[in-house]
Amino acid sequence: MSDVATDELALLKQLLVGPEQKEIAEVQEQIAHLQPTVSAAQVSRLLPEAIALRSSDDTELFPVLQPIVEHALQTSVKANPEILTNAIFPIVGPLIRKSISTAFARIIEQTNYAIEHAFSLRGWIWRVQAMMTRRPFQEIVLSHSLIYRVEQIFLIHRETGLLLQHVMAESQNPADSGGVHDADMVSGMLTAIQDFVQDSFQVVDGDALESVQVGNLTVWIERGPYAVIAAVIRGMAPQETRLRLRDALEYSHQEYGEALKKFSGDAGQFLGIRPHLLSCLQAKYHQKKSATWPALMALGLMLAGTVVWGSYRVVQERREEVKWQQVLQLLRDAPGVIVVAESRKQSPPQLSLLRDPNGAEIEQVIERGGFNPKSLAIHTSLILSLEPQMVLRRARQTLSPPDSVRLGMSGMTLVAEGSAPSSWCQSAAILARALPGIGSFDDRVQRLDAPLKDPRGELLRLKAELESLLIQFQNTRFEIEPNQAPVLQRCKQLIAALRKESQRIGVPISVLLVGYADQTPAAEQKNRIGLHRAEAVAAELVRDGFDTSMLVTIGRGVRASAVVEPESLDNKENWVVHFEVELLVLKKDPQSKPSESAHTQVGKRQ
Amino acid sequence: MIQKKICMLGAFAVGKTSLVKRYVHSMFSDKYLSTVGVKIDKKVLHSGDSEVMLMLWDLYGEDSFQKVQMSYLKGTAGFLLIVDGTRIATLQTALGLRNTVLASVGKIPYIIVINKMDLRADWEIKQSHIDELVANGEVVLLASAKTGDAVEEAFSSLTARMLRS
Repeated sequence: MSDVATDELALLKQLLVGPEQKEIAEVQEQIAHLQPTVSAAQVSRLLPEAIALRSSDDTELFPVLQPIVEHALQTSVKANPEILTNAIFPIVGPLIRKSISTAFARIIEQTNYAIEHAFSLRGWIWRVQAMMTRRPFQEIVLSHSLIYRVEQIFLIHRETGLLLQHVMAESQNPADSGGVHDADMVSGMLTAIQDFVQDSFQVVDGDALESVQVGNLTVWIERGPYAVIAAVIRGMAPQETRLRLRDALEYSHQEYGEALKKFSGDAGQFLGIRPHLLSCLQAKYHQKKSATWPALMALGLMLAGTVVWGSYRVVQERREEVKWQQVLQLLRDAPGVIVVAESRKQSPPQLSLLRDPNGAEIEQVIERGGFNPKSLAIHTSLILSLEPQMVLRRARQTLSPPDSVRLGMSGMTLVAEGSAPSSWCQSAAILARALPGIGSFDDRVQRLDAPLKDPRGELLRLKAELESLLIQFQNTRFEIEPNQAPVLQRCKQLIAALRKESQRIGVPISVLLVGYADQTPAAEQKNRIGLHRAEAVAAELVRDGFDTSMLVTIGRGVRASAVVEPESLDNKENWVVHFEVELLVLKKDPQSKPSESAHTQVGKRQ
Repeated sequence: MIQKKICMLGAFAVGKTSLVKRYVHSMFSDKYLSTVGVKIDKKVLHSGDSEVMLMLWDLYGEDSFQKVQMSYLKGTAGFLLIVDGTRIATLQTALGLRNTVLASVGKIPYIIVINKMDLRADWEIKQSHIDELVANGEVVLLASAKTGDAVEEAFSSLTARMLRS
């Protein structure tokens, strides 16, 4: 086929099926685009534009993207929270700081306010007013001290009257008169009333209800093309507040104009307006500088009063403590009283005591210390005290001595002196020994019904003791044994005492040294042996300086008391020297007269 | 939560207020109706997966002395057209109102609720009237404020239609 024929055929094809060929080429191109590698590249080019285009048309894209975005955020936080934290840090930091500073400022303001009204005279008057009118104190304070307070802000969709956002002052209680129970319905009704006013009073286009006033409450209304802001204000707000409301409204339209225009019931998209609405919640209170002075003065007076009262209490406490210690010391010193436990910190102060029935009167001791016994709780248990003073007191009570008798304690010995009938002395001796704390009874009482005491008493006592002593010798020996030294020493002491006493009372004495022998030798011999023994003892006495004129030596053979049994003929009881004392002025003791004796004056043998 | 404004429309004394009374959260007294001409109540219900808060604008019933204030209809997403089954005149009033509203706010969902079903024997509105309405594409519900029949259904049905539109 020639080239001319080919061209003609092509021309004919184009004329006949040209449009179809073009469509086929487009379809082929589209099919080629559907291949994975090519379509991904295409989509990536188209995606941003497609999203922008679709989101400007309607909101269908948002619910579709929402779970993807949420999931992506969750995944990101799980993988590395730092990335998101860093991303939102510039926003969160200032937000937190602002929130904290606002909270602090509010707390300081409230505290200042509370202090001012708690202490001022005006505050008390308001309290009385609150009590009389049965209104909450806060409400009274508010009514007197508030200049203005923006309590609530409503952002309302202008066309539908639906509530877009609502914010309320923190201290606002919905139950208060200015509060609302249901912001949604109030929002609707406010819109209705605006419409009602506009329709009813034939106002000029553009004019609208700007404020509603009921008592101290005012509702300020600012209208924008798509939204209305209504602020519930207590008191007289400045025009600045209205400007602030307008700013918030302008911001809402500027940032959310399109959303407001197409509002279809989802108010959640307007959350970003809340901070601007919150900034409109402002308040101003009366601030009288002079009001601080009474508060400060009251505070100062209270502090001064507290200090004075505190000091007085400290001094008083110290005094009481000193007094208490004095009382305790008096009780400890009191006879027959023992302090077991004490506590002044308790109310009433406590005292636990042990007391002898004859002890000091506790209440009197406490009174003497400056305390009222009735103001104390006193627990007393009875005891028997062995203190000498108490023993003596008990003895006096039990023995009932006559006035002429003096009782006293010497260690554990009860000593009685003076004079009394012998019957009392006898019973006292018995009773005294039965009393606890008394070891012995020393009776020095002169018997009123007894004869006068023999003045030779001591002499006789010494005589009796000396006459009871024996100096032992060995059989057939005349020398004093070394083991007899203690007896001999005692004999010397007694003879010296006898001599002294005889001189004191003027009764001369003579000391007989009587030596004995057993029955074996002849009588003469016996006497001689006895005499030798007596002389040996006398020689010992003379050597110690005793006056020989008062000593008489006698040899007497067998001792009468020892001659009892035949077996004891050579009994050593006869190998002794014993003493006999003669009181020379008085009548001679008949027993001292020897029946059979070798009698010599010392130095001179008779 | 989605918010929707709906209006209760109808002639005087057809039972609009009675219909909503038992089924809504109310804070304003009925005197607003005769003074301001509207009383606003609230009802929260679920429609499908959505929670919807209906703001009910109960408008004063139209009679020879007072017309419905049209400005109250602004922004309404739907309305219930209430008719008293015992008075056929109220149907005419309702249809007149319907035309006014649609002309004013555009094509929005609505439901015709014929009230006083408990007095069905005394009804002036006959089945033929109802059939005619249905034939004209209207959604008609026969309800009773007294017994509560079909009241919830009226609200939920209108809500579903509003969400679809």
